[in-house]
Amino acid sequence: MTNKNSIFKLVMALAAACILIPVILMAVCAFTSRWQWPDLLGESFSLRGFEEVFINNVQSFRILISSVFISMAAALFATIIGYMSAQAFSMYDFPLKKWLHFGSMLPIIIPSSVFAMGIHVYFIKWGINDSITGILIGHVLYCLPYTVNILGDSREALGNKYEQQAMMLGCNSFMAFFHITLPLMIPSVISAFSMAYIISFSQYFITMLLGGGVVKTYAVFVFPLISAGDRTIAGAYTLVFLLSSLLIFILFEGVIKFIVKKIVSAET
Amino acid sequence: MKRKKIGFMLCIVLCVMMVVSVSCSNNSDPQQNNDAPVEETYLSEMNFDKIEEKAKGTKVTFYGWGGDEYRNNWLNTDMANALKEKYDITLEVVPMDIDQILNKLSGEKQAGSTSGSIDVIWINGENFFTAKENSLLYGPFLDKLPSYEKYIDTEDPETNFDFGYPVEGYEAPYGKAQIVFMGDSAKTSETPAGAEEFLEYVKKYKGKVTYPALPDFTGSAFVRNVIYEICGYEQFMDMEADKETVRKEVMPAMEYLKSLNPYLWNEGKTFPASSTEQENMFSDGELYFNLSYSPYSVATRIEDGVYPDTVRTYLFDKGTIGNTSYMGIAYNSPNKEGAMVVIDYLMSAEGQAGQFDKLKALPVVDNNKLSPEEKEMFEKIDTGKGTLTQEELLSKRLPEMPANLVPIIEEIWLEEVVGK
Amino acid sequence: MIKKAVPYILLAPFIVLLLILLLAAANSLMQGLGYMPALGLNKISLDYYKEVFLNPEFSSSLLLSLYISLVSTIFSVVIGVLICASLIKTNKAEKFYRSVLRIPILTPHIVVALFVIIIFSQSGILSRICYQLNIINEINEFPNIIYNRKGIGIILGYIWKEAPFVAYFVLSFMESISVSHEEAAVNLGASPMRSFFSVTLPLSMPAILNAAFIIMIFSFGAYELPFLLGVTKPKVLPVQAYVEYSHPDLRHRPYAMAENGVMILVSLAMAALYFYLWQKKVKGIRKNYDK
Repeated sequence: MTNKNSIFKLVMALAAACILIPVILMAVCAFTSRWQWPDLLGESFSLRGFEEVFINNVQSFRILISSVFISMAAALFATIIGYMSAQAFSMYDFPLKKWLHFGSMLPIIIPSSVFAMGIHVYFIKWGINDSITGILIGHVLYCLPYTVNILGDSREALGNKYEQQAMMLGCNSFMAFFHITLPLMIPSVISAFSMAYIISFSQYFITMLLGGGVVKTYAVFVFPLISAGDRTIAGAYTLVFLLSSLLIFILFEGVIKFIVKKIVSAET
Repeated sequence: MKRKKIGFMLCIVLCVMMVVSVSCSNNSDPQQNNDAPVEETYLSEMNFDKIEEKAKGTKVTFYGWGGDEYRNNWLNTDMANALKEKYDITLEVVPMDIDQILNKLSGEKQAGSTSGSIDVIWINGENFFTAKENSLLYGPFLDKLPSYEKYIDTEDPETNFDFGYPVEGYEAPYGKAQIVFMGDSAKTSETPAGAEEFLEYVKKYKGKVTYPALPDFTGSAFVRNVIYEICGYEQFMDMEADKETVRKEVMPAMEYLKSLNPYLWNEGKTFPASSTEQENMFSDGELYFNLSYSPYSVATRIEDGVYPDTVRTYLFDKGTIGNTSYMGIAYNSPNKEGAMVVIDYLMSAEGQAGQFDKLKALPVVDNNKLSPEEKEMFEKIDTGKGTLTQEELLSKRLPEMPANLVPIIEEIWLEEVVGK
Repeated sequence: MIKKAVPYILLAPFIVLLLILLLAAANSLMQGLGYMPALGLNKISLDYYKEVFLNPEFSSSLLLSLYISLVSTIFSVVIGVLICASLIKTNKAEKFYRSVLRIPILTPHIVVALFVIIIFSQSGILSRICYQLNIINEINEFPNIIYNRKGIGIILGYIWKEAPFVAYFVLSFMESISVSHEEAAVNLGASPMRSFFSVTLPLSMPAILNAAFIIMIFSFGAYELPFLLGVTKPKVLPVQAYVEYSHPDLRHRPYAMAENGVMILVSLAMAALYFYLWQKKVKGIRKNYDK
């Protein structure tokens, strides 16, 4: 038994190492001045990378902030629409239900680059190219498979029983939704929201093509720097990119834990 | 219970605020579709003073290749500040590959958009050809700009023809360029002066030499230069743009490039995706060979410590390709007046001196038209280390081939050379 | 009446977005058939689609895409399931490992590309270690792992990101099965290994196949990672399609759209295959149960 267990422990340790090492290496890259081959460590510790990110290139910081807002908005819309759709799929039976449910998987089947190239001319015709509206439509569309399914699974698991109980005790359906169902769905809602945020924040092609250089997100900004070759600058920018993705996620996870704690303590 | 309710309300308010702030942010510009056609006829009658007045307080976007950090910084700081001070114009530089720019414009043209987001375009060669043929540019505007008569040699063929194609006032000269090759004399003492010597060079420094993958602008120029070396250049000047005709003519050069492959970086199976990548590999020491359209760019990089000061540039004896790059105006530019003011300034002695000083880019101004003070502006600028004199560059300068042949050659290279 | 309409009202925004997506897909398919009146192309023709399959310039892209997504999916699934099983068997420090496992899921593909470049490129960490260990003496003695015509760098990047995704996706499913069925099997005398392979694994198949389907289709159509880590030729299909799309000569546009159309058709085929296999699996499990 112990032998088998140690194999599994080894696998876990290996996996964790494979995941963490690249992140650490990139952070080290970001903090060196030059890293000529074949030195194992950079020449010296230096803040040149971060100087470039925060001081020299003022607009990069502005782009970061506006990206965060854009992704928040996209996540919000994706979560709301996802919730409404999840409610429809799990609580009702109606013609075309199966097809529409399959439809929620379409953004996974049709790649974002295909979508962007196919809709580009129409966006121009409708006047929403180079605009945040167009970008949001694209981002929300590609978050939907995740929000619909995350929220759908827990909505179905939750079921109708609590709502029905409450309504039998006298409250109307809106009160039942707001005071009973919604609080219980909060962990799932936040999980869907943070997933949607990450997907929107990482979107490149849609923003690149449909944004036309007018709508700038951090992903589009960082992209050309990755293969250009200056490791320090690329490392600094991607570190900021990674941290800002993770930060929001961790923030929301903390909020879930807090709310769950409150619910539990309120019930005891 | 009440606290939870308040918490919810706060969250919703926060989210609504975020959405509102996002939609009101100055990332996207409202599109005015109404006044455009009327404005255009009015514009063609305005004199430059009126144009300058109209452009005051407006924003002008400048779309162009963003792979040169030095140029981006110069445009974003020196140029932007000068334009703000002199004309109260806010310059917004948007780095974007010319393919994407033209793609965007042609999509907008297809959809019938009359007001877009691009004002000034940095453009030349086969891209200008495509843009003009497809009516993606506004013009003619060149003769409206005071700097044109004042500083530019109006008879110069490079002013009137871009890769052999008539300009007809649809673009204004921005900077002159010429291909130079470079190497670190501390690592490689040789400077191959022709095709044979170059072959010996790649054999000696196996795996350390390559060129950017076509259709990168610089990579494409290298291939055209090799074609000139091996096949000569006069026959291309009026050649039909037919793929098989061109293929027959350039085959000897393709064979030569194939013969280089086994000794190139990655054995010619893959090439650096862009000139920026190649430049970084060169400064890292991964490659011993680099080439650039900016003959004096070496000086700026040596100054910054990006290249060691033993780097120097050289040419082939038979010459290297030189051209001019230009600025055009998008057909649906929302601020044509502002665009013209920006272009006029960049073409003036002051703008060109600034470009020469910070980027060491060859100026387009006609020396004979400069006043003594203006001449001094240029003379006191030191071209820096590692560079060749202007005389030497001009004595070995070859013209570009017709624009419509360039994409054909790029296709042929992809078919005949990569990985073969 | 109103009650019947409720689900549709709830689904209204979803349906609107879906229609936009379908419009994009339809436009791709149509333009791929050569119908572009703006360019004077008024005849429908299968030539462009034929070129994608027959012309080696394009078919090499299609084959490369299929190859990369197949190989990366297989490796990701195997490694992912292994990690999942290990996670279940070792209960120690579970929280730590679960959080670590989430990092690749949250990392944008663009950042993953940089990771691969930092470690595996000829001027990367692995190469420097080899130099220090005297395995190589020159920078180009190190094999070209990433800018490679077999797309090895791209595959490595996908595995880094997708294996943890598979592990995470299958985790809760496999956990519940492990607790109920695997323990029962062990109690009845089967060895832990045997019970895993005969009980847990087959019963987790729906979740595993689901994850495999998602990552296979995604890696087939993704743009960012293969663009950053790919070679000059052949480019994967999505990258090649965009090259054609942004070609200054608009007559290349139908080629781009045909390639997009092929991507849609192949993805649909993969989805159909998945549903077929899933139906078979479900029927198979039911059969075994009824025995």
